[in-house]
Amino acid sequence: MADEVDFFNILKAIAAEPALFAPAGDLARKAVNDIVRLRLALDATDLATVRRVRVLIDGAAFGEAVDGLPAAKVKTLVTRLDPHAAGLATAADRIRHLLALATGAAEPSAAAEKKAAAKKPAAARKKAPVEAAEAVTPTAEPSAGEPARKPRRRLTGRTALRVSEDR
Amino acid sequence: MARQGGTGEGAMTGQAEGRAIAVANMKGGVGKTTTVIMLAEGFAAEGKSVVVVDLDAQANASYCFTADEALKLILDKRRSVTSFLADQIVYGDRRSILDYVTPEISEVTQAGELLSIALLASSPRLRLLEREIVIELAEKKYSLTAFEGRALRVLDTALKELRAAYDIVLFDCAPGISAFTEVAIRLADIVIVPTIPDYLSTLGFDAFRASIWENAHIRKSSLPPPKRPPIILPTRVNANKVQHKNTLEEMRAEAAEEKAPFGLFELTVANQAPIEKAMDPEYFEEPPTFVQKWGTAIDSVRALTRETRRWLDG
Repeated sequence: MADEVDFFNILKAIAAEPALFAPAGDLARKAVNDIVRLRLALDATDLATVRRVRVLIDGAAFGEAVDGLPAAKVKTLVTRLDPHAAGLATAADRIRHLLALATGAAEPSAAAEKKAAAKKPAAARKKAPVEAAEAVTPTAEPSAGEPARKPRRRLTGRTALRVSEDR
Repeated sequence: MARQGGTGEGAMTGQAEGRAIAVANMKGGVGKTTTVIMLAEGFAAEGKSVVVVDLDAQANASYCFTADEALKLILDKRRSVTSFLADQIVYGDRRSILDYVTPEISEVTQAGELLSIALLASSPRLRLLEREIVIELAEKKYSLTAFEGRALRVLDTALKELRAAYDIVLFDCAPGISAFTEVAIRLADIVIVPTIPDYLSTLGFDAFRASIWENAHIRKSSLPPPKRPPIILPTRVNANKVQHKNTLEEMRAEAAEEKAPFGLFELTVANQAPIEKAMDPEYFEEPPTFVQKWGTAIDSVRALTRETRRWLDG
């Protein structure tokens, strides 16, 4: 199909006739999610953009799009929007914070003041040569280009299957 | 009515009482537990509070929600269906079933919040419990019918409490059909029967239907009949297999007959890798979102939930 076709306009036309395309409801949902996720994951996405998208598509759809982003992308986006945010330990924390930033319920945090006392001495921060070498060359080395695999689970020996539940 | 949703802060539906769904089949390996997990998370993602009652001594549903160490802690505290039934039937306790439920069992999130799913866990001990109870009652000169009646009273009371506390009560029934499973089937609002569209699975369905809905092998029973005919959910469907395609056509033809002895889901759940991944709580490094967990199978989860709601309302 010709490149000059304006597919956003076509989407608009389709949206004007939802009954005609009702059987494609799941596909419409997927298309919305894909479009929004791609926009959110772009390097150029700033807070103003996130808020515009949130206003445009409403809360539930925005939440669903965010839930489908890979955890690493959410982390990258939240770090960009609010680099000084504290206490975002889990993926769920980061999603909640992103949603709050998007609605305006939260604003980016101010940079924390550097405390001289908290600064570790240079000697302590610098790793000893052996430690540094270990950090670069882990004991259980994964094969080149592949992430380390978790140990396989054992087939037998699950503890819960052996609880007696006696009174 | 405010539902406790496992924590006292569950969803409000305005519905007088929760709905009970039994997922059952005499045949194993047809996707019963998978169906239960799909429905539990599908309904919870819609904002419903859900409790899963694991009636299978293999504890598969319990393991789909929790890792081994966490499940051991639950069982150490005797918070299981096994301990509940033992306490009620063997020891004559009258504690509420809600005392045995583990709230917020799921680590899956939606918009950063945990899905509201509670679990009444199972354990391998459940397999032996029924035998222990029969021996106990026999020593007291009670009949097998008395055991049935007792199991019915205990589970009937328990289900009333669960219905009052949760929007959706899901029974993951054991294959082979234990007495407790049979009672759950007869008390549930609907019974979903996951069935692979092949010869042996459909044979298993007919045997299951004859046993429960026709009482074909029972002369005397104190149990009430199931409320509605069973509803087949075609599972593990491989669209490329001619046998699956043909069997599905046969199922649809029979389900469309007047006074058909079973209902049939329009949805067919395909055999797909994302569903297998979703059954493993340790597959994800971090607790996933509902969307991440199901991946490309999420449409099946949503469609199953929608159609189940229609069966409940129909």
